[in-house]
Amino acid sequence: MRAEKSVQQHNAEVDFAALARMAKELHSYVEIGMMPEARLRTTDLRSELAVAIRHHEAFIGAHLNHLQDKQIDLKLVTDALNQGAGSLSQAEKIRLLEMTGEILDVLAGQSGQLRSNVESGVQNG
Amino acid sequence: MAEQPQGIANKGFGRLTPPPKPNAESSFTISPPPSPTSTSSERALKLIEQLQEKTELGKLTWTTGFEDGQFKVVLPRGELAFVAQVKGNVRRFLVLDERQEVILEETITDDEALDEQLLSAKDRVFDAIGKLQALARVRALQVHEKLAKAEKLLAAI
Repeated sequence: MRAEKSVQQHNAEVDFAALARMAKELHSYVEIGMMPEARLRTTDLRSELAVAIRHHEAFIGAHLNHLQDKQIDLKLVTDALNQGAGSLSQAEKIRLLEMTGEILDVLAGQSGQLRSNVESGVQNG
Repeated sequence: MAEQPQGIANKGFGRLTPPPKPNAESSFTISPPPSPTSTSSERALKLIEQLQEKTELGKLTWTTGFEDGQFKVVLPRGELAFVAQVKGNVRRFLVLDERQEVILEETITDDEALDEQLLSAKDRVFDAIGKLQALARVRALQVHEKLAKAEKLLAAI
């Protein structure tokens, strides 16, 4: 049972590390104004985050609310970008950069927490 | 050029396979759908009024959304999220489930709200979204706290 938990926790860490990489790519695309690429990455990240939360909820612990909040952000960003990135106001462009930065912070933090748990043998976050 | 969408589950990021579990019997129940006694506008209005009440009591934590004039609140366990938006002459209210699927959407323009034929539910929802968005904005941006601070700062000059 303990071995199974360890494997699951390792998988959670691997998945969240992959999500953090996707979030970093998304943030980079937004920074350099590659909006079609940013739109694709937002969609990917949204669906993969949903899968990861569902699979690894037991290991996420107190950060679940943060992740759910970021899921809503990704949904709102996806909807807006799908309407056409050209129609974004200046304030929305700035907010997009802030939001993708926050998403990166949250996912990198979650990944780091899971890695730390794996290394120290803690069973959940 | 962006890479093609990548799935984290099948790209070999070093995932391990846990030992197989014994088969567990799955069971589920089917709940009958709620009786369609009210229109989506009436449902929206009821939810907006409840949100207004809870917001005034300070029980909900609103934050800024993405688009201009958009504010959101996620319920504590993430089961539901609500979005209120006023953008130009369009007012929008969304209810999202735990998978961020939109389960209720009301988007009303001031033209629709002023249309005599559509008056009543739509008109009331239009006004209610405006009131809720104003409340949400005050909470999300901490307007009262910041203005109180501004008064103190100005008094100290």
